Amino acid sequence: MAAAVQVYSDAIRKTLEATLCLRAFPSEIIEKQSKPEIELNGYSSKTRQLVLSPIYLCRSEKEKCVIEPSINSTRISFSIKALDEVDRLIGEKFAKYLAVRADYFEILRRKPIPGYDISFLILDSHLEKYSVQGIINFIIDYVENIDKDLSDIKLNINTQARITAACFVGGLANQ
Amino acid sequence: MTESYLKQQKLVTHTWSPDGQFVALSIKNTSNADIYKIGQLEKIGTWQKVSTLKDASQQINVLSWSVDNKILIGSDDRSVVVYRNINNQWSKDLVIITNEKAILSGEWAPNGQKCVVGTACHKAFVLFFEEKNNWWHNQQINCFYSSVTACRFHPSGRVVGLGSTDQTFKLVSCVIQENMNFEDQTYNGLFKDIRTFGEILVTINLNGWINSIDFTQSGNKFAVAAHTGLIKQYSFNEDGSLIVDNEDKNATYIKETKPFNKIIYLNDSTLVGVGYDRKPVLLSSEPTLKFTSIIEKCLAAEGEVQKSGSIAAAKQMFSGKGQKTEDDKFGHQTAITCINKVSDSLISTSDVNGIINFWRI
Repeated sequence: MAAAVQVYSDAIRKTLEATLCLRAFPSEIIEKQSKPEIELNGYSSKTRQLVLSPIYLCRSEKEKCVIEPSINSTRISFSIKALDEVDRLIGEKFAKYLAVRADYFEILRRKPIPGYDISFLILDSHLEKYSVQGIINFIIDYVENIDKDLSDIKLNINTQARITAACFVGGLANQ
Repeated sequence: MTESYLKQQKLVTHTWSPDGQFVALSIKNTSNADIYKIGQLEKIGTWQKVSTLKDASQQINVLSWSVDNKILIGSDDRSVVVYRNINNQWSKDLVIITNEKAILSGEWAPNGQKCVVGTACHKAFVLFFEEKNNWWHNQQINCFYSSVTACRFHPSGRVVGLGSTDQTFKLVSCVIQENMNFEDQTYNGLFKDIRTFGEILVTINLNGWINSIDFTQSGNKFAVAAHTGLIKQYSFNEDGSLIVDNEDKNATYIKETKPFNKIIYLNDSTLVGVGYDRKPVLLSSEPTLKFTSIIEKCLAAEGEVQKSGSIAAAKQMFSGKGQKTEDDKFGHQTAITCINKVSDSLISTSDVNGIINFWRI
């Protein structure tokens, strides 16, 4: 299991090392402004050369990652594995919890792109402030620990539900 | 003081004066260009600021010093300014240019009589001085589908190599018809008979954004660096036509890790590339492009290693104190964005965090 995650995270690491070669680039559409070109993709046909083809890395049908590079920004989106309704609900709540606090994470996008649970947007200005390896390690850390975090939450929910049910049934039995 | 100022204010690019006594730095946070007089070359603390050029309102991307002591500045605010040094004062000339977006690249011609700028509005402009109007006028080269990110004059000054984010490199003629006396009349090499403007002589598709271009001093070869990690070297025939599809003459070097931002020829047989790997890479260009070595230590690191003797180093090791690697103390922590030749055996590199390093070849 750990080996499978390792292969997946190694692939993500190598792809990120290649796609995080960003540079400051002023907008071709708006003068005197600089916008992340990946976010403007599709807005104007003039800037389509500045965005590269997205790279899809799939661990399984439900667990996948898409890395969309451009000249001055890279967007990385993850889809969390959800085997049942409880998993889906936990994943949604967890992603929403992080997205609401996106300002603290700086590289986190407030709204994930459609079809994915969480998205990161890395700009050239982030690479000036933080080291590339630090940002990559942060994302890999997230990938490697998300399964464990979500299964811990699910275990907690099951434990609490069991204790609650035991108390309720015990109360009924004593009556 | 200068070092901490640069680290705080951040650096975009730098250029040396022809005599090597002065350096102009483009400061990111203030959008100014500062000119420093060099004290001791590798000790940035000894550099003295002598003037500041304040006419740009946004980041200055282009900073070029001509052989006849003029400075070209191109900025994100789409302005281009040419400064002349008159009695140790920098005065600006009027520049007429019809670009609509930011200036991304630019350079003076070898004789300093004209210059080229590449812009984000998919055009390049060749600027020349009109004495009767006392201004710099332009002629535009409009053959790209995306931003012009790299430009370099051929040593003849009659053709210019332009690279773009539409993944093409083009060699374009740039002789100004009205002012043939701008050209170097004593030049007797390739392209000496070119008389046109805007004629595309060569188009090459490199399947990646063009980051940098350079010609050899003799002008018979040039190299193009693309964002795919590729450097491709091309040779000219004696009649000026390009040799293509010939693996013996056209050399390719592919870097497996990260792309090069800038390349320069130190001489006809040595090419230096710098980029996201944060250390200069030496390549030999004759007979074919081949990796030689990575320059591991900058000049500052060499000096420091000599100072700390073996006893001090051993003491630190046995005391178990974590010794900072030279990569942490010296060298670049982010991608190298600019490289300049200081002398035949010395190059200078700078990154966005305000670090300027010198490397001995």
